Amino acid sequence: MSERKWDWPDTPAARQNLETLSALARAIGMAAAGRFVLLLAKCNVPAQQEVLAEQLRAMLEPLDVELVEVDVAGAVSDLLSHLKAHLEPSGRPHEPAEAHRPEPVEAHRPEPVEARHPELVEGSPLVQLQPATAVAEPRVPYSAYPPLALSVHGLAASFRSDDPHPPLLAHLNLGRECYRELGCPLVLWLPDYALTRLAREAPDFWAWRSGVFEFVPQPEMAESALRQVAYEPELVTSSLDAAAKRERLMLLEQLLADYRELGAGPREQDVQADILWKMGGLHQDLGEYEAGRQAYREALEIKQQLGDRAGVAQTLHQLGNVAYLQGDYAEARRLYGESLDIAQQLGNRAGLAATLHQLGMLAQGQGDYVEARRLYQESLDIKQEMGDHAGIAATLHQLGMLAQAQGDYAEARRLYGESLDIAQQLGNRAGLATTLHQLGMLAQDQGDYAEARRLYQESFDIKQQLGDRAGIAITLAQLALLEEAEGNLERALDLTRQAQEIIVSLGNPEHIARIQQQRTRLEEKLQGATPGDHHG
Amino acid sequence: MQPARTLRDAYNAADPAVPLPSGDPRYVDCTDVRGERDVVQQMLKTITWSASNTAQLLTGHRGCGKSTELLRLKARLEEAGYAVIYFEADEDLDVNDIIYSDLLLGMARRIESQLRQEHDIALDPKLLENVQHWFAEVLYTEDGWRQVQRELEAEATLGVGLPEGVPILARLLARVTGQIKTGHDVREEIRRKLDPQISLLIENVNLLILRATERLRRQGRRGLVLLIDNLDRITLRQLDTGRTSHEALYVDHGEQLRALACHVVYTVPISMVYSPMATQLKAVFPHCAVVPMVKVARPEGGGYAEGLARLQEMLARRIDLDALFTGEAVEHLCRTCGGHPRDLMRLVTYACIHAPAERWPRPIDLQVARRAEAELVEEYSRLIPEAHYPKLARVHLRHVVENDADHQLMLYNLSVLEYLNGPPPWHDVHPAVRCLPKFEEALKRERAEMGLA
Repeated sequence: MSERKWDWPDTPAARQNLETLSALARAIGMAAAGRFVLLLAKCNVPAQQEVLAEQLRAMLEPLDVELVEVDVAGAVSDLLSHLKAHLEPSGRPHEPAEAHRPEPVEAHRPEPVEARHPELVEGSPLVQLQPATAVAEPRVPYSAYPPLALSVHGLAASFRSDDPHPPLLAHLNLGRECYRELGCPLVLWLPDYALTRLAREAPDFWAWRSGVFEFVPQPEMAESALRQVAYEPELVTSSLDAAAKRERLMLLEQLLADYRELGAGPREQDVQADILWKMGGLHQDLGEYEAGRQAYREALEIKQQLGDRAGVAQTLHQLGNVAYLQGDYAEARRLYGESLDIAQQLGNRAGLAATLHQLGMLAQGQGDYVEARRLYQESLDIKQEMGDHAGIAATLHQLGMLAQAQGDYAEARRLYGESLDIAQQLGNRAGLATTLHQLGMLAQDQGDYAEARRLYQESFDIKQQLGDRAGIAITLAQLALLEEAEGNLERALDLTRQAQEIIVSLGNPEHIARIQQQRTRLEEKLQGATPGDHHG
Repeated sequence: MQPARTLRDAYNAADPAVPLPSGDPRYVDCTDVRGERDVVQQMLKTITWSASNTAQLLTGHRGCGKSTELLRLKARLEEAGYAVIYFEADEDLDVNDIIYSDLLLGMARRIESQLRQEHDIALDPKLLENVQHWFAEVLYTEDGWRQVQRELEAEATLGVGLPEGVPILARLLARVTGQIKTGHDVREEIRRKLDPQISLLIENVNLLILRATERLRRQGRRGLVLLIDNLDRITLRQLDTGRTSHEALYVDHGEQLRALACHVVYTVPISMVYSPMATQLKAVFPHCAVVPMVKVARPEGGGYAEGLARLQEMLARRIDLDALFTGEAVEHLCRTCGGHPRDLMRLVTYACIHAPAERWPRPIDLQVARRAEAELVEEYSRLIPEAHYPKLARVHLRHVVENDADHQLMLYNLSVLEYLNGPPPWHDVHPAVRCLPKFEEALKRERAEMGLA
């Protein structure tokens, strides 16, 4: 191994990891042929895992052990089947393998996996595991021919930290005997929190480990991951598909674990707050308000400790947004007020504009259109001065809503159109969806139901892609009203129920009350109990 | 099998994932260093000396050698003239979600199939048919049963699943337990239908057992014993009824589990024996055997040389210690494992990984042993919730555990180990846990509170 030259940074962390990696390579290399060896590797950031696995592969080469990497995309509950499927290449006839060869034969060198593993293909007794059969067949290890080791990545998705009972853990704990069939070393790469959950919640599986290899964060790798995910422009993140948002959240959580390990220096602290901030935004976009609040709270604490007042103001603003979304308007007003004070003291114009906009929304919600218009205008002026196009689009949208509420449909259409143009130019999908929905309402108000339906559908599709649950619920509720107007009461009730389910889970009491009213009215209408009842 | 003389062979000889089969030359009798009583002897006596059928529990820490002892009991019972049916519950049943009727069904299936296959006892077809009719009536409607019967008969002609010539009842039981295990939709339906009929289920299973016992006696056997391993692996869950999954099985339905017309040994999680329901459990199952840890220390302090020597012997059966270890390294590893055989094997595994390959002989010295210990300590730190530390300190000072949820968890995750010097058992914190700084701090605080130095 010594003659290989690694392109490996010469830092203390990197040296320590190299040593851990050598130990892992030895644990794999020493395994007898056909023996299942469970090895757990702790490494938070996937990018680092990849680099380490690459090095591991190179270290195993001189030992003639092939490292087969398996990337598990998405959540799995039955890892074994996944691994088996991965080990089964295309169909080759089953030949009775020299299954229990005791020792590796040095002369036997790598061929393609399928050539060395004829027993893995269809028709093997392993593939048709019959749980009901009483007579146990002798088990043929998967790697009857050495040497092979499995390196499994991407398991973090199966250990979501908000899932109280990940099915994978139960499966591993109860199914551990079956893993012996793999008959080769198995390396599971896990971030810190997932490893802890495995140890605590799958104790029988954990009991079989032959090694836990803890890799420390390497600052240079964490930095590059950080640049990719934590400092991505807001608009790009909020326009990601729901699945990408989930993945992003996971990456951020892993990165956060890395920075927590890297220490409590001001730079590391600051980064942790930024990561938390980003996580808060993603949770908020996905309608997970409590998780969002939690992340912002933690970020706020760090910003306060660091004395970063601008950061404090920004985070208070975000906390205000979460309160607003949850329907706690008094709390939202308080938080916006605090944020506004600091922004004014610091002369932070951008912060000022953002918070004024939010205060406008609060006023609008209370029906105080004059005050709302004043606040929006003030916000708009600052944004125009600063060239904040995304902000301008948002405020124009709100002004459009005011015009619509006051029956000035032409003005509303003009404002929505302007907002829509900007959103399109910026690629702001969330903004686009919101404004399309408003245009649908405008069409509905003017009796053009076909156009309204088309716009709602378009808005709904985008929101669904984004995972914007709050937006989905609003559009469903609106579609229900359209169906009602067209006389399709049953369809209207069905859509209302769907919307209600989401709205209840989001927890804004005002929205919950409103959708319940809509549902009750439709139910009564359907029963003919109160024919000709007014509609909202 | 030659003891391992290379690091590579030693690494493979100390696999923490493989229990020893009965009669394996590597088995070391640890009876006297575990405690005064031999659990196998104790369970054997309970069975052989009893005029009526017995139901016993066997418990012990994860990895303490329960399966090894149970397999020894099987061999001893067979020597004593019993027919033994041994099976692992998790092979047939869904231990993640198991209720007593699942278990009884699984046992019925094993009784029929293992008697037929291992003891060559084909039960009277008339009896099998009667039992089969009973199942058909309880589980299916008339049309449903006709359909199932057609499927089972088709299976039989095609030779699918079970071999040819197997009674339809065997196929039916295999089908039903298979559906229960895989969480098939019909699982709940089967349970719902069996629940009110449970005494009849037991009666029918007992019909099979009684007839089988008659046949066994004619062959000169003394009776039938069922050993159910790995039942202690059922997932600990809080049920809607307010009970845990363990309490529901062993306490609430203990009477049903006792009602079979043969001797039975059930494995039970050690935490159950220390749960708030321990007294009720004892009332249902008066015979509970514990496989304690091998003693490596005395409760009053100081090492326990005989126990350490026995652990060393365990290693010597696998590894040429003189070639690979310095004396102090072996002793250090034996102490650090707390008398827990699987952790001992794991420590050896870690030592082999970290030993310098170029040093020969005795590449594993005290420094390498300490490195292995440090890894085990680090792993235990992952297991222990913050709130446990003060309680762990108290266990260490007083050597007793309380019957509450936290202490149950400590026994469950092995941070507390049980030892025996004659009854009653005593407890101590795993040596690896005692190395954790958080434990040391908690211990200091606890000592101060107790007015100790």
